[in-house]
Amino acid sequence: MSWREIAAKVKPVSVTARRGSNGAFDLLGKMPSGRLAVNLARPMTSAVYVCAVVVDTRRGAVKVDKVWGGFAVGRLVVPALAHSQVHGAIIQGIGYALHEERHVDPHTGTVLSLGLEEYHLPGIGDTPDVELFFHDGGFEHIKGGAAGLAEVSTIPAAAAVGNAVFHATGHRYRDLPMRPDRILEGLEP
Amino acid sequence: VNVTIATSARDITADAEILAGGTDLSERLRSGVTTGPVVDISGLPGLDSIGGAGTGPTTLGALVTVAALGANDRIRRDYPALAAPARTLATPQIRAMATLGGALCQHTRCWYYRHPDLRCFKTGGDSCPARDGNHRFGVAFDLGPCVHPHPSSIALGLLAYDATFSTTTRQDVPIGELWGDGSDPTRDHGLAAGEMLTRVTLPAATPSERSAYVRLVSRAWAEWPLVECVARLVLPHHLIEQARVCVGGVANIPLRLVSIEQELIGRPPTSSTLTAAADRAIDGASPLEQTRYKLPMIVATVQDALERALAFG
Repeated sequence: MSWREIAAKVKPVSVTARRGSNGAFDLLGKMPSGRLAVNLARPMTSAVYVCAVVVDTRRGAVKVDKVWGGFAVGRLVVPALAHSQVHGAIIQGIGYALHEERHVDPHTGTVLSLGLEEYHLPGIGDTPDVELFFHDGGFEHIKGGAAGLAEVSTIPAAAAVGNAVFHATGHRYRDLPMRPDRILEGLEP
Repeated sequence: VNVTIATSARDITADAEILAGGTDLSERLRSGVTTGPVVDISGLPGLDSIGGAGTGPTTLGALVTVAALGANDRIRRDYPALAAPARTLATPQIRAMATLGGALCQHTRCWYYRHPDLRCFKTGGDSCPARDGNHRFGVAFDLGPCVHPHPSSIALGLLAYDATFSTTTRQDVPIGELWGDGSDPTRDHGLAAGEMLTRVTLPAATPSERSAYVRLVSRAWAEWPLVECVARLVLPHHLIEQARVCVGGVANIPLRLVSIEQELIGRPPTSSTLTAAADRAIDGASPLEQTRYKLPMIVATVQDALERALAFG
């Protein structure tokens, strides 16, 4: 029996649904303890990055030299893991900013970057010196006093690299990744 | 895949894919681009040594690894323009496995060629889908129907030294003839079916030589270069007596830029000489729609290489 024949015999099912709109109580959630908690008084975790880059204006390559990070994410349950996670987040952010790109064939949409040989991630040689500061209070209203760290440490890293490249070159790059060809194009008089 | 362990060169059949370090072939077998049969030559005796004495020529067996090439004292002292790419390309893991013969005979890294669902001249098709497709990493010197650059950095070092190669059927052929002129899109090298590269010979070392290797990549390592350049200058007194400038990442064969060499020979090694020469790096360039960006990179990479050759020689 072919797929077409099977599909013809099966009773139709709908897999679409509509998501509800955002409401005033979205910040109301169930904590792992089972208790309801509201994250309004001190609402959000936050992070700040400062980043130093070297831009080779002749050949277009960008090297991230050093990243300083500050985080307000409450108590660190396992400090070594928190540090390690942020190091990874910074490296991933550098990938967003400078390297990661999916390449497709323009006519068929076939993905051409099938592996890590073409889909570039930062390597050990692209990893900057990293210095971190954690402000470990402010989440006492949450049981355990700790909050999440993953996204808040990953997302601003690429922005910090972009801002540093802007500061270095005077050109605001709007497309990621900031490949050597794009860097040189932005530097053209 | 049917793999035969070769005990002598006679075991290499005409339809065989030759396996040495396997850094290229294993990937092609995995994606299905190559189906074999495979003849494993990695155990063949006498092909993994670097020979030569005193100031004479140097021979390199086809099974010498890239890492061994880069670590060898004689190569580092007498052929620095070859040692430098051997110490820089790919990753330490790849360099430990990859062989000289494999580096010279590897297949193109074009993503259309290596894609399991696509066809090109090299995989039974009748066109180059990269030419009107995505050729962002393509050539800037359009020498033939295939528009992806030749991948070998080692080849540039060998071209810079006028090396020769020998095979199971031929002796001491100029290394450039291994890749021809880039006009045949169906193959990556000029060896006949069943023919195996056995040895590369480097002429005797040149005193007063200065060289540099520059590789334009966006990451520190593990990346096929957008542009790479080996520059080699022989400077016995105050004038450049001999020059070799070879570039990779820009043509479907390793490319020697003769017009730059002519611009350099007989001139003093001043920055104006180097700048004037580097500007000629794109003489005869014919970039594709998406590779125009490589032109300034070629000039910059060549200029960097020439400057470094003179500063750090």
